[in-house]
Amino acid sequence: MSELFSQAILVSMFAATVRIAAPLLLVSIGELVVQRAGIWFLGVEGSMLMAAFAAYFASVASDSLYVGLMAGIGMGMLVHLSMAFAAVTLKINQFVTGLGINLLASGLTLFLYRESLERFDGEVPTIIPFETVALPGLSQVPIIGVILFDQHLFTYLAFAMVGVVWAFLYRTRYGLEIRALGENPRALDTKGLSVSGRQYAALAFGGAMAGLAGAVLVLALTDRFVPGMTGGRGWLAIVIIIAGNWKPLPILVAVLVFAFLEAFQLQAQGIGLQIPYQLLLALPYIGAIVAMMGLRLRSEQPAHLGVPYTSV
Amino acid sequence: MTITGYRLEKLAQVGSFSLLVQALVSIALAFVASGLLLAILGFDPIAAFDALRKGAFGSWRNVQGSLVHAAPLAFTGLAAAVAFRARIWSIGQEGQLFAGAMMAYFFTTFLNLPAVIMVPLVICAAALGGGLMGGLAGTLKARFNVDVIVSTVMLNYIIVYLLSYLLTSRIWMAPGEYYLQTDRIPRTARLPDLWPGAELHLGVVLALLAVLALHVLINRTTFGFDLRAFGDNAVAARFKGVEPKRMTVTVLMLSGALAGLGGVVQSFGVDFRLSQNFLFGYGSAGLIVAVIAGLRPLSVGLVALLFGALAKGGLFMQVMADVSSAIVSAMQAIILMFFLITSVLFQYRLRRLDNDV
Repeated sequence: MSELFSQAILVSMFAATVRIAAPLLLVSIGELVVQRAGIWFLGVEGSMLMAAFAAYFASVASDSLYVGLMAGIGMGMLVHLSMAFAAVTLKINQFVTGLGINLLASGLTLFLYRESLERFDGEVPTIIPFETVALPGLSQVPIIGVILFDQHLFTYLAFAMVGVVWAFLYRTRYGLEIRALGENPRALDTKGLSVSGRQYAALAFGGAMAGLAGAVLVLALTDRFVPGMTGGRGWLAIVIIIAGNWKPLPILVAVLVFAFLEAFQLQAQGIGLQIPYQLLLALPYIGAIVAMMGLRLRSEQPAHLGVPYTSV
Repeated sequence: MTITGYRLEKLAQVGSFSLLVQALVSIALAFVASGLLLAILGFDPIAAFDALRKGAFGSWRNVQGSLVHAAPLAFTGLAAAVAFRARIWSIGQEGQLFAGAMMAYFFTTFLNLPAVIMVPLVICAAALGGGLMGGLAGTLKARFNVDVIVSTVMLNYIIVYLLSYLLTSRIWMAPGEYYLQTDRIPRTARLPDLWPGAELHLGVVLALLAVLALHVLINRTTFGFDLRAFGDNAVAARFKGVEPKRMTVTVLMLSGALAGLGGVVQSFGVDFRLSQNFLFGYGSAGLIVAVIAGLRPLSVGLVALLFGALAKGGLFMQVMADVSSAIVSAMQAIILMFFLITSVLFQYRLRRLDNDV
């Protein structure tokens, strides 16, 4: 046990926490805006998976990580916008549509991956992932520098987005309108503001974030696509939003807690701690249930979450 | 909305017949879409789907195989249908399937009795395992207000890690075994074949009985009435004496027990052992089956048959046409998406205006 708490290990564990937090933070912040706009989108897992798939194969085909990145973001937006079409325009049950998107994503990517294996003679090529960017000066600060300031550009972006989305939601008129959408869409409608237009926009933003998160997963944190590689992160994002009571800063805290659980698990496996590794793997999921058991109050849950809006 | 002489009307309820037409249209569209996908990838879709058809219905043996594939889907489909009818959005069928199979296997690790006792025992154990798992999600909702969608998804992951632990720690694995799987289930505990040399086993009969039983339960009993009332309007049902917390726990236990039976039917009737990923996909396929069947038990049976045929045919197609059988799970999801999209169209009816020109 004592080995786990030596300084070097702690530093690498916290650095891993920050690294792991990035995609989770991106997807959660995107989903926050979507849910605030009143759309109860459960298909984030599928959107991320499709984005990871697109990002990987686009970067293999083009030999450019940036093309892959764009493909990932584009795919995320495409999947989210198809949800917008189903939920906002056609007003289909949001729960079932979200699930359908997840199933479609996992089935389709698995099939296409298997087919690609045949073409690549049994093993898909690896890519050279994005490297971390040490911020000059800041990364030299002892301990903190390694943990916070020698990370991927996406990581800095993800943390910055928390502030950006907070400012947007609480300090701009458009943010107020998005929040009003989840609470009382009729109020906007009677003012002559387009409900569906704003919901499409919210989903487009959520899609870009989920797409970026999927792309980061494959282009920065690993070196190849594996079927099902999102491993429940999209679902965890939904838990995080509930645990964070639909507010940006508590969501950041929840993300860090889950990321820490995962980092701890990786570290404990690495140094051969005598705990079944499955227990550690299950920790974020157990943690999620326990976190939600403690939440009696759901004060900030949008009142119109998941209710299709029909104008009169 | 007016088209010359006709008016588009929204229907309060979609009838059985148009539901059937809608399902058939979605399936046809899904075949067209996945055929296009195959063609883009350089396969001959006609040949591939022909192999699929032969694999599913080509011989009496293949038909039996399709029925065997349909059995666990009927159970997970019923499990989803029961929960959704009460408007409880449980996605826990996959985990409950595992829990059922694991509980049944647990009994075989220390009991070795004649088949007459063992077979009913493992079946009951599976219902218990799945039921407890569903009841856990129900209790979390009733006592702690934990969202059912979230808790069931999390429990799905947790139970598979538990099985993984039981395997890698070798508690359930024979020494020297290389693959992550349990020993073979003793003969006395397996679900028996219906006749010597048959593909069909007891589980298929159980599935049929479950479909009929659920039909009666939902449509002909007080409990079924309460359940539907609860689903339609929980507040109104409460005034009639339907206690929401108790209903939630009961429905989730019932749903879990059904999914658990699906687990024992597959692992004790076909696979004869448990492994980490043998049962993957039955839960999600069950969800799709339930939705396409309009959450009606008898229709769940029919749609499960179709999906079973698709699964059986997919395996044959993989061998004959070299198309990965993973296309089948993609096709199932595509059918669902088309079904959801067409459901919008089928909500409307064109009515001739009385005073037309």
